[in-house]
Amino acid sequence: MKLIIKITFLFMLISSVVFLIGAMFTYNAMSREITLEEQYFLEERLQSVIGYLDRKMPDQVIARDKMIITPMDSTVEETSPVFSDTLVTHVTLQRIEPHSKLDVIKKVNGRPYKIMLFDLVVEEDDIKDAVQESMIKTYLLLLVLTLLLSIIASYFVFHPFQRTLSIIKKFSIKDEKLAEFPASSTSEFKKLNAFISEMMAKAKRDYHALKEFSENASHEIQTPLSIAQGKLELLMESSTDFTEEQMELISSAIYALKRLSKLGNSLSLLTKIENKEFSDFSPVDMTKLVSRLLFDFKELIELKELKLSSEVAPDVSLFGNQVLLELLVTNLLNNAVRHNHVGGEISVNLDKQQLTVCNSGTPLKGTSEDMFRRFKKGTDNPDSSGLGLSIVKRICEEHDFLVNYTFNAEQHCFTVRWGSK
Amino acid sequence: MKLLVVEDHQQLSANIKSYLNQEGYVCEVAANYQEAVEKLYAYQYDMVALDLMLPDGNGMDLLRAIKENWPAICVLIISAKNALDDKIQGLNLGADDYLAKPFHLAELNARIKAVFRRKNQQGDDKLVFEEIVMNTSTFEVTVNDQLLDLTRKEFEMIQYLLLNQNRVLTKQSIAEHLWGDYMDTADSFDFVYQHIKNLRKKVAQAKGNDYIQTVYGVGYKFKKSL
Repeated sequence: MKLIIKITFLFMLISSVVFLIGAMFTYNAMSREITLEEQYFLEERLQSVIGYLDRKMPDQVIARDKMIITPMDSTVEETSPVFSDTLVTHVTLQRIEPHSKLDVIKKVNGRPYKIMLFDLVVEEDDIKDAVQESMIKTYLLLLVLTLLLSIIASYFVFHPFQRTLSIIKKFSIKDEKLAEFPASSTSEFKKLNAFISEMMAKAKRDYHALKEFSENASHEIQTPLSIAQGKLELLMESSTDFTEEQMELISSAIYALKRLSKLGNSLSLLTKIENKEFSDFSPVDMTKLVSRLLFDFKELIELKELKLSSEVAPDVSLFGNQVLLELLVTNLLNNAVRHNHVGGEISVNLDKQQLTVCNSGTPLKGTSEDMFRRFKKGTDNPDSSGLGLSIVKRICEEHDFLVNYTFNAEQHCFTVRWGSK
Repeated sequence: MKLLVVEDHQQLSANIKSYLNQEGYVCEVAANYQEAVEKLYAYQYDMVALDLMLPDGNGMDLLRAIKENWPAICVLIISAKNALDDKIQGLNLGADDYLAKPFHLAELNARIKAVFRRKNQQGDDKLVFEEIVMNTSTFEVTVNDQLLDLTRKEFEMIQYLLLNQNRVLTKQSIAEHLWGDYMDTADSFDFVYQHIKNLRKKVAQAKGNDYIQTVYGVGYKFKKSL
């Protein structure tokens, strides 16, 4: 629900209480005023009745509509007027209606008369109805007007806020330029904009610094590694008198350097994918690609005495980046060969919806989610960098593919689905 | 053969120079763009090994200049940027090969030789070592005029060995030469061993000598005298 609607409803809830209390006040005031007016009216009529009695001096009882005058004995004392309510038959309506009544004994020219005057009263129900009706109508009018006005006002008042929201929605940390916030005269929005803009700038700065660092680090590391590796190779050739142990020491140092270099390359590849440096997409013939890579891996598979069963459907084509897709399949195949045991199995399945690569092997140590995280290794194999599968995951994200890992009956299975729709 | 190494890291160029001098190449070093251009104008070179990142200019510009002014010079790009774009752009601009850092010096040596042979010995694509004759265009190897039945990897391996005679070749460098980047398992060393074993067997069947020496714990050496 929109904030403005919420506020309006809250306001209307409060005003409905106000209206209820107000209705009570109005009712009380109205009935009081009406009673008073009725009494004035009866008193005025009493004056004219007294005037009439003064002139006519009647001896009989005069009973007219809303008036009964009874002559009394001269012994009766005068009283002050008493007001009361009573039920009297209404002459024209021919039914009993509540009336207000004035009772008084008045001496006119020394002769006491008992005077009873009646008047139709405004009934309590009628007052209630009138108050209720007017209150409800006013309330409804208020509701409609408030809603209408708040919607109109919110458009103007909340306009800067909406703009801010849309800027936040469009925010991408990779975007080079900073978003411009529209000026607002509302101090809360001003503060909000300033805060968000500062936060965005900081996030971008940090991201940029981190990106630059990982790019530079993985580049700059390669030259010193080259130097060290070359020195070791030269050292290896510098003498023929090295013992086997010495040679092995040099050789494993070279090997470690190479691994470090690969690590750098893998990290910089991940950074590059994240930087969208592989965004040129084109149709890629997956059938051809998978068949070719299977051919390339054939030798490795045979050397490890693995049993390969593959089913590659014809004419599977994907829209993606050739380099990344090749890397994806390569990493999956490499993974399947590496984490296999001699004499194990590999099965590769490509169809229109998905690519499945399964291999035999020992169960993982971590959870299946950990598989795709950087530097999380499922095995103790010192040669695995722990980056291969995060690259796979990143490539899948880049192409909106779903990648899934299952372990079943001693089989590790990776499934990449693109036909998810 | 005269070679110019354009590389701003002195230690690295020293490595290259030292290694290639042993091959009998005349090797000179330029540490920056300016020096490289001066040297190119002053002397004659057969080949330039070019680093793309130079302190005072882009290696790509230097590559363009070389191809414009001295088209006969072969160019081998050495770069820390293992970026596909750079590779494609470099090769499109006329570079003869591309090698990413860090590389094995043996690999560099093999590449230089291969590039040089491709460029300068047109028609003669035979590599001869004693009784072993290798034809690099038909991918055939004969021993005592007897054709060997080699797989592609075995062919590549014998070529790599031939191009790096008298050098210690680590198993790792051989594995990388054969399988490229995606072979980084310890398994690869067993694969190298398997291939060497097969190769020795095939050469022996054609009554060739075994020139492949095992350097224990490290790798192999292709050497004439035992």
